[in-house]
Amino acid sequence: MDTDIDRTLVADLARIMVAEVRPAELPMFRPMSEAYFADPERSLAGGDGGGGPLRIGETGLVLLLTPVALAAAEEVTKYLFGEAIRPALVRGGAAVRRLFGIGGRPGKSETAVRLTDEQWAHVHRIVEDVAVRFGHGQDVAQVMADTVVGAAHRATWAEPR
Amino acid sequence: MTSTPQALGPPGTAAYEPRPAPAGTTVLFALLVSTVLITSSVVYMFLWGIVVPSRATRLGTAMRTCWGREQSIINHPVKTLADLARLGDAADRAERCLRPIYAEQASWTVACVAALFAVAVVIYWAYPLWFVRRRGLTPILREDCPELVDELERLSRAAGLDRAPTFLLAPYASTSGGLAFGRWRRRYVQLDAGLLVGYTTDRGRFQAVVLHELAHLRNRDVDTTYLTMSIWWSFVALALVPTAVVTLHPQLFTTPLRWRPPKGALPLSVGLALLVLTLLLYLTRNAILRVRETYADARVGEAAHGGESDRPAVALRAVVDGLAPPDRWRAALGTHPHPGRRRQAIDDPAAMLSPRSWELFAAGMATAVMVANLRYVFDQLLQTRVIVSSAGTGMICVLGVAVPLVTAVWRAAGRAPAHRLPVRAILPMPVVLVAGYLLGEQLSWVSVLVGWTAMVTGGVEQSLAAAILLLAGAVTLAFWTASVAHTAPSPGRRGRGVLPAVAAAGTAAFLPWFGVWVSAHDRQGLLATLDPTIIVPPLRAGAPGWYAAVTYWAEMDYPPFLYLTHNPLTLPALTLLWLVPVIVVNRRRGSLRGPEEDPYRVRDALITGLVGAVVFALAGAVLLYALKEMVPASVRHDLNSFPYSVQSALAALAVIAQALVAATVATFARRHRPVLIPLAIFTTGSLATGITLLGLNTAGRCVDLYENRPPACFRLPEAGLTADFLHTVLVEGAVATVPAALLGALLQVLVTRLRRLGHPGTADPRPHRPATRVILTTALALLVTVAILGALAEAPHAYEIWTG
Repeated sequence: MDTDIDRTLVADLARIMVAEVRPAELPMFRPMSEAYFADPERSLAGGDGGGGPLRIGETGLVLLLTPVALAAAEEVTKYLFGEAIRPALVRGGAAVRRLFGIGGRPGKSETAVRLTDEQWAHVHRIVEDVAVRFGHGQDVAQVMADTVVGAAHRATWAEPR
Repeated sequence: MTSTPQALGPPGTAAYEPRPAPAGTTVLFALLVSTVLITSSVVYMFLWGIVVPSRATRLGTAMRTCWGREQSIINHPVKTLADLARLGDAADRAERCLRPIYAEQASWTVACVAALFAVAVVIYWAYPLWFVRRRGLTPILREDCPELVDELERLSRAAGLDRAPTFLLAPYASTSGGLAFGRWRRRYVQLDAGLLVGYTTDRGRFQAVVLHELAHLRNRDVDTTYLTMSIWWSFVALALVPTAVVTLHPQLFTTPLRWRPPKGALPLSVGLALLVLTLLLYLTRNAILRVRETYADARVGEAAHGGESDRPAVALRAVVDGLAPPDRWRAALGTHPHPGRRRQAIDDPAAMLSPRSWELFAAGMATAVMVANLRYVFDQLLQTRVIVSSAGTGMICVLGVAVPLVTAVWRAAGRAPAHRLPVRAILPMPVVLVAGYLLGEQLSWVSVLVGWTAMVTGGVEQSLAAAILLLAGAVTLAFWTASVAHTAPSPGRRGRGVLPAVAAAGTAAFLPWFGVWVSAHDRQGLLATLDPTIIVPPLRAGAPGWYAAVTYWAEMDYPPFLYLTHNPLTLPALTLLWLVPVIVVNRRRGSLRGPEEDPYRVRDALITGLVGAVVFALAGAVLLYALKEMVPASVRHDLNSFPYSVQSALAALAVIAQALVAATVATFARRHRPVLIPLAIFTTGSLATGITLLGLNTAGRCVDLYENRPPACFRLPEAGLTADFLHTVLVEGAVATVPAALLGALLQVLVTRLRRLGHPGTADPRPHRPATRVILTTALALLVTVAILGALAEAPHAYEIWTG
């Protein structure tokens, strides 16, 4: 990630997905996201808890959602800043955060960000692709993508016209 | 000794009750540390001459010079006790001559061993930091999930912990495991990210894993486990690898760049010794780790058996079921036990008390390795007499055999406290221990390197004699422990500290025996001094045949036995055999309980001992009369030999009286013979000593047995002579007791069967006649006083004998 503000945005966006799809992971979302930002590849790869003489536990891996949600959110953020909107028109991530309903009201000088239907479809595809790529089923991927897009639409509906 | 709890109380309470069954891993850990300490000492002595080649040259020259001076004595055949003494003196002189160069070697060795343990401490200290850093562990904070933190604190309290550990999340771990680790005063529990998902979705499984890890903390496993690992790695890095390198490249420090294949059998021997040692340490290490795991499982299982919800136990069973089953060898020798064993621990925690043969075998092996190596270290570094260094080695290393044996028997007895352990359950334990010892003796570093053990060089008969004697001692200790364990107080109110007390008493009682056994076994072998030309006394000219026979048997000497007899530790050891059990079962209000509550028939044992003493007095009087009437005055008036012969004959009579007493108690006592017999024979022996020195000797002088018209009939006996007589009577009596007691026990079996045939269905409820507490306490206090005064009075003479 490039900046701290981006990390916050990514984490907030990922939290929406985790809260919707796997709320059981919310208690550990903060440390998990910090671990992800420190080493995304290791976080996504998963793995055992390391050896240890007093260790107990099954060796089977649990497919965690948090790292995948963070990866998907990161991809979405990159897409938004890189292609969908003009960074010059937005200050930091505030406008994008409001796009997903995770920020306050815009300032007077700030331009509101809006995406076209095609762009929303692309965002949906990004989330689905990332989720499937890292091992989740199509159904979970679908729900994650719907959650992201749905959050944005709810935010749009809630905004005063 | 590490022990495990019995029951998990209601959540939120510290509810574990202490349980008397020890895991036994503290003993194993101590053995591991001792083996590393002693073996690395030998290894560094070996490396001392290799790292700096000029040292080896100097040592070789010094040895040739010092031993060369004593060559004539060494080559002289040993035929008498005087020859033996001269040989010992020659060895002592040679050792003194070598002292300066050995001191140099000692300094190097001490420094290297200190470095090894320092590195082990550093590893132990750094382990947690490395875990946290490498695994990216991060604390689980209340602000992230207060309910989760509350649950973890509740589980910590339920596990009986005064202070909750620091729970850490392993964010990169998508498995569902946990791990306890940490160092002194800093405990952590790692919870995998995958496991934390289960906090919401599968609470039972989450609790099971957390409780298992908390059980490790409650069982104080963290220090034992990680110190074990640290010592192992330090040993591998600083002792094993350097030795392997110089074994493969002996010229490393002279011509490092020119490697030639090592020649001769020495590298092979060193390689074999290294391999055996490594295996022994590795297997001991893994054994410790396996036991800790099953004890943590058992603790969770006990919660269900203690009336608490069985949900964690059921969930833990599911977790164990989900573990990948290791192959047979890995399960038997690896760091984690087989899931089947773990399931057994959860379902039936009492199964943990089953004897573990491997543990006793490993203890025997480790102790043998220690004995062989430590004796070498003592010889090289302390420069004491060979007999002292050998016996001292045995007396130190006795812990390695006695404590595991006592613990194992105690654990086995704990499985069914209401029933006596059958003989078939007791016997295998000392057998396995002795088997491990005998094997370990052959495989110790020093044995392989120097090839000096009697087992290898002494022949089959030496090996057999040594094995039988060691086994006899171990079997006696095992039966004694089983007897004490059967009457020991139940856990809880009065059970605390009983096992350490019994283990200490058993070890102390075994100490003189084992010390002398090691010494005699290591030197020339136990049968070497059984040469008739050495041990048989000369015949008395002109004496009647029966008198010659009496003196022949009464004055026969067996040198190794002298070190057992003239030993200030022996009487206290014999005393502890009956004193500690009696105190353990009577320690309420700090004094003896009323006999009606006393499981031991102390009164009966004392009376039997008293009767034995009366029989001895009568037999002694008859003997004196016979001597006076039948032995010519010319023989009797030889003050150089006759008084000694009389004393020897009276001592032999006292020994026979004790054997009869032992047989009587074994025949009539229905329970606790291993405790009652020592008490009874101690009574007989002590009284016989008093009767001889104050009564029979006085009577002998009065009837002119030794000389014409002695100045006075009564003479106060000298303290040293009294102590000598007391020791001779009690120690020889104790040895004679073993076959006599076995005969008595057999007789009881026969009598019981005959009675059952005559009156089927009837038991023999002999009434337990009470005696007053004051009389019992006074009698026992008198016997203890005799033991203490006897040991103190014997000390100067023992010092002379031991130091030559």
